[in-house]
Amino acid sequence: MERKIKIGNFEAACLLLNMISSKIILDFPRTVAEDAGTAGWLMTLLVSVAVFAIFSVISKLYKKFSGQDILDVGESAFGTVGKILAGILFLVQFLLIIPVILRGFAEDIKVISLASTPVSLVMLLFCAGMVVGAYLGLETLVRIHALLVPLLAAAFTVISIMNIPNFEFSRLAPWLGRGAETILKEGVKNLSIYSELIALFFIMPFLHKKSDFAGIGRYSLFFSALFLVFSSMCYTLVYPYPATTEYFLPMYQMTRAIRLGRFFTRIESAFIVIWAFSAFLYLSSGLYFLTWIFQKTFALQKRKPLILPFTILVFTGGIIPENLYSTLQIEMELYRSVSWIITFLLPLLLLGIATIRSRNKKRKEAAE
Amino acid sequence: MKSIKTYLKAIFLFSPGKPKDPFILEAPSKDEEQDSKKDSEQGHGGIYEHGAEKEDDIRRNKMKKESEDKEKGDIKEQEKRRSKENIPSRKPVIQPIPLEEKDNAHSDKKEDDDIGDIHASIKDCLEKIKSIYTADINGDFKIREFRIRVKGKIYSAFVCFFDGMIDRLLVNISILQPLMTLSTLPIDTEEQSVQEVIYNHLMPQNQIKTCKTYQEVVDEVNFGGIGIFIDSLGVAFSGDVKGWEHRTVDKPTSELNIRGPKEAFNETNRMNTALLRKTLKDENLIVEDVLIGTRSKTPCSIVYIKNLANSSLVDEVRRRMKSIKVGYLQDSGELEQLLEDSTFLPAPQMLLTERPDRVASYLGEGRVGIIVHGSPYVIIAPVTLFNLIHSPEDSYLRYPYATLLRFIRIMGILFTLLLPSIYLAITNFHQEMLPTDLLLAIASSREKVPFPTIVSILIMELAFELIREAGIRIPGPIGTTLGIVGALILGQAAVSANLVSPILIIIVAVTGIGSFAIPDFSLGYSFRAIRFIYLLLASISGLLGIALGIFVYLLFLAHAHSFGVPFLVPFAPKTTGKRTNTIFKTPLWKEEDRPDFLNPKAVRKQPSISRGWVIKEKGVIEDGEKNKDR
Amino acid sequence: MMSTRNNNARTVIIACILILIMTTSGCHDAIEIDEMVYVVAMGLDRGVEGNIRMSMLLAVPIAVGVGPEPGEVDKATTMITVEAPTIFGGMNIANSMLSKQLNFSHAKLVVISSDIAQRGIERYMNTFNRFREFRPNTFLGISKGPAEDFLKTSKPILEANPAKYYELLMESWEITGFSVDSYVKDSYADMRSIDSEAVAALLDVNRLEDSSEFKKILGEPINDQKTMEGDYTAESVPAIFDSKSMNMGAAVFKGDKMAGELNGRETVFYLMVTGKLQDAYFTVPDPQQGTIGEDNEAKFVSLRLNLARKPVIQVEMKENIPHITVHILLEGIILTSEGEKDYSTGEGLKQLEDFSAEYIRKDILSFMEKTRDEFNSDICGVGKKMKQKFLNWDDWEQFHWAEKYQNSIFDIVTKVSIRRTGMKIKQIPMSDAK
Repeated sequence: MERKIKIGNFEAACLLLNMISSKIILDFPRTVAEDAGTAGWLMTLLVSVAVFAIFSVISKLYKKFSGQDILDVGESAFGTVGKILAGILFLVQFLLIIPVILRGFAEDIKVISLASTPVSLVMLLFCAGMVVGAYLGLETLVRIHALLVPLLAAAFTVISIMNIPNFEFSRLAPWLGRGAETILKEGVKNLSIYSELIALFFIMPFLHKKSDFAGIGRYSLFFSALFLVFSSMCYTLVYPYPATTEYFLPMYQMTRAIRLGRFFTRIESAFIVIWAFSAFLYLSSGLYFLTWIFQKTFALQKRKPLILPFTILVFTGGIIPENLYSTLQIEMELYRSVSWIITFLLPLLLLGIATIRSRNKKRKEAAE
Repeated sequence: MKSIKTYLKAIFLFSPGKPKDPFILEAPSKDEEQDSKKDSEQGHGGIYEHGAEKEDDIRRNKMKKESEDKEKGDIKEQEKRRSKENIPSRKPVIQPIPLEEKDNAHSDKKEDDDIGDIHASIKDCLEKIKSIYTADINGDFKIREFRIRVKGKIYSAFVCFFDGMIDRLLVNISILQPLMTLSTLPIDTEEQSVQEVIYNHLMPQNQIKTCKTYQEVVDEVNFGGIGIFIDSLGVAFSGDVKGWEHRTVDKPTSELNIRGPKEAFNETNRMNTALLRKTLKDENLIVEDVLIGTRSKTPCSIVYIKNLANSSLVDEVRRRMKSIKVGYLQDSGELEQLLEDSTFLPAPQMLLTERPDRVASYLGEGRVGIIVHGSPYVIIAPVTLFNLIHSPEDSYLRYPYATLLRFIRIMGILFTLLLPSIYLAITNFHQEMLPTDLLLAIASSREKVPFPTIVSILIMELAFELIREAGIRIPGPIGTTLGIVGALILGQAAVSANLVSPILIIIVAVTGIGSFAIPDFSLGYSFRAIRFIYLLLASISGLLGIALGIFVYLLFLAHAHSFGVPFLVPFAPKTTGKRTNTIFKTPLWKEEDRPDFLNPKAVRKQPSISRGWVIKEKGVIEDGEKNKDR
Repeated sequence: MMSTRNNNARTVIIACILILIMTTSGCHDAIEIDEMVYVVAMGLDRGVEGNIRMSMLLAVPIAVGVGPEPGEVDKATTMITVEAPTIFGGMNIANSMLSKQLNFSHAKLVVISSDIAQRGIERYMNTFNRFREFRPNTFLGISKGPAEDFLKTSKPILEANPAKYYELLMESWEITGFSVDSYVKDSYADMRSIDSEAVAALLDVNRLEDSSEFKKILGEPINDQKTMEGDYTAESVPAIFDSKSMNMGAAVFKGDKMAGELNGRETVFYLMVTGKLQDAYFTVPDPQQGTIGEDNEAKFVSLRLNLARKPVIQVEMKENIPHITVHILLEGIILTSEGEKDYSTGEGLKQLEDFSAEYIRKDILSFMEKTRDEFNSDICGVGKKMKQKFLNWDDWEQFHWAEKYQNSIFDIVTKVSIRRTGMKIKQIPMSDAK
């Protein structure tokens, strides 16, 4: 077993922040533009508020179980069967998204710079970082998050600031985009933007101050909401609406648009490093959670032997989609429409039942 | 064969490592505390040793056992108690021992066994000493026989020492003279034994030890002491009369500075501790002596400030030091390698400095220093990456300059690490990033160069490293000259021979210059080595490869510990929200806390207003504003 | 302490991965800088049978050069012209002829002949937006004549580097106002959106050989007024220079098709209305036209104008007709005043301000009317203001702004404030002194 892991609040928040916001680099600004037109940022804002509300309900329920991860809660709700079932659901969720993200980042890099390198090789490069990260464990991972996530945030801010000359505020009009109804309808599906928040429920036992988990969640939710809303807003400000749905990589497209004088232009390649950092961080923590959930669900003694098989699984899963479009489809249509249920409804269910059961127990004890 | 098997096993099964040490700065749990206690009780004996000992003990007679136990350093008393209480009560865990090691243990023992308790008869003693030191062959080993008269009786006596290692005058005046000529002087000695009279009255020397075993005497004599044997006592005396030739206190050679003190440590242990005491002037400074090396018995000192350094940190350092088993220990560089957490981490985990003021300031933060006799470099532990990029001069310089210098140094580090690889990545993968003018310039300068960029970079980098290494090895002033001339001529010739493009020469030169700006010698080596890995990664996939390299490198750094302190603290993990003296320099009056990741016993260094004069009198009007509270 | 065995294993794993990557990769994408040839500018003309004729101006690095001897200007560029159905087909042909691989990542200018532009350039714009090497910040120019000629006649005489030449040439609008900033990305965005229309810089070859030919152009005045310095489009400008390429005026698009052109002076007004005007020398006639001196020649006042604040455009729908109000506030410096009257102080200053405001207002109005009547294209982006009155995208789409624009009624309000008067604060006529 690994030695006792302790995670500070800042590190945990950084981990969540990157896990939630790394989709900005992939396709997030485009997908919300597709869903809500010029009001993508508004929809994101509404979704964030909704998630905030849901999260405060969850954290209230969780207070009793602080120090336990969601699988433990599942165990106290439905026994070992509950734990295993919940574990399998989470596993499926991670196994669905991580290969897609891996493939997505690899395709990104292929489009951006390594046009003739085979995609499997780019994926292999990502896997290399991923394996080392997952191998060295959660503590190292969160530390490196604390180091790199501020850097990523700074880079994102720099991109936005440098794009200010390209901003045109009338591009946000019409203000409701594709209509209020569409925003609400698509908004439910887009709750999945925050599906990585689930990671908080897994790192719960490792937190330095267990009672701070709600604060960490709120902190990371607030900042990721800030970045998500801001990114989709900036993107809409830089490119007009129908064109916003055309570009494969919104953030990259924004960096391409930067031109500050004759010298300071064509700097988008420098941001490859930033994209790659975000990808490495996301993927290695994803792989870590995959192995960790598996270990925890099936009560295994060791985690590290799982890394290689799961890497192979993820890698293979990443190669399966035939083309870029089907990768996007899996992410947008399948994953998006399901994952919010697993992230928000399942924990709510487990917590609710566990609370009732523990209350019953207490009552019984009191009665006895 | 076996090692390959383990390797394969390790790769494919990812067998977990042994449980790692706890983060030692947290209060250890009960179990761990006991463990460490046990460790320290066991002294420098490991589990294997004890097993072997135990087996030997049973076979050996009690006398031998006792004498052997006494040899075991500074924990005599406990051992004595134990041996009185009968051996079985110790119950050391007997573990299966690999054959080879068992044999080794035996052979080691046999050598030591030759020395026993001091004989009563002076003849036996003389013979014994002669045989120990092979006196008839050893030219520098001197024995002086003489007689003394104590309480009306004449005793034969002799002293033995190594010529050249002792202070002759001191021996003559304060040992031989009183013993030989003044031995009749003492009066009122009826109640004292002969041994007491000699010890109390006849040796006016400040460090005299009474020894019961030959080993004790031999240890002293080996280290510039004198052994004094007197007939019929059954004990011997040893005196500290060190007087060998040594370097005087000199200027630092590798940590040059303009401001600040210019004294450096030298090779003598005691002189180093004295330098340190002179700088610190603190009665709480503890100099704890540990001998390392089963043969060399190199005196080392753990230095720390009693009421600042975290005691579990000191315990850990002591534990590691005492557990080291080597034959000879020559230098702190060797000790560093024996103490460090990870051998393969491409970064030093301890700081070696030759400046007493630097050691003093680190001790003042609650760190621990290790002085090794024979080495002018003192080890400081634990350190973080940021300590390694500070220069000793930083705290003597004014805040704005020091901060600027830090940035320049960090820039130098980044250049050293990444400049060649970034150049390679951009020119081979991301040509659009270059300004068009520069692009065309590089294209035209490369037109006649036959090698791909990676090859020409490697050629030039290796040539640069070669010049550098040769520059160090070449004796005297030629070295630096060769370095500069070599680099200039080589660069110029390489360009005109169309081996490399002139822009590449600039890149390599800036990389080299950057590496000179790294204050820590060892860290500089590590960066210089790692840049080749980045070059390879960049040649595979451009900036993505570099990103992978940086990511993995940072992972390893984040994973590393230096005596339980995470290497990238206070950034990863983030420990404090306050301004810390890491990348930015803090103004001196703002350095209110000691680094909290060291868990010092007193965190506060100075009050929040350390410059009393800034508190102005109330009601004083300054710049038209009434000063309200401060 | 980490156990050594564990550590060894880790090193071995990393080594294995590295070796694996290295052996399998073989550096697919690595290409040396000197193995590529860089396109500086590209021209598209209409070839036979609907083909396109691509002319690519290539930088010759050895001639641009580094080191002690400066490059030779004449050899700094070379041109290759190919004809193919698509741009990439053309690139293939060119690559089979050139020893080095074509690279567009440093292309500064794309010139499209008006012949093609009038038929629509959507397919080329899509190409530019999809392929990685084409930069969004490439300049887009429309040449009145063949693009091939334009590239052939342009010579970087003042620069060693042809890329710099094109960049600076296309940025000259910032100091003259006679042309527009036309990046591919902006033009594409305007063509793609339904609230504004695109413009692009108008380029052509100046075909005058000698200053004696100026008469041909300056023959008849436009609008009964004297021909002012901006009243030209790129092909006919009274200027003689070794490099014949000219950047003057703007090509106006409707959708992806070229609808007409603006001359230099009109482009200044376009920049004023859209708020892009940086700084421009602007000449107005002496307000006291009556006081034409004995020499019987017109006198002028030269101003240096810039926008005091962003122009305010308001749209209101009255009976399904857009009423468009444009407020423009300019500020300026008197550079010269040729006439006898002094406009630096008091009354004179006021008179000059009012006169020039009215003068500019009239011109802007006629420019706006030209966009409405002649081009029927909302290049000033009035639609962006209209759009803000809508909440839903679908409603806005069905509003069909482009159709509404042709009925719009304009109201232009201008104000000119002279802030400074140059090195003089007043001007005493010489006749007074004598």
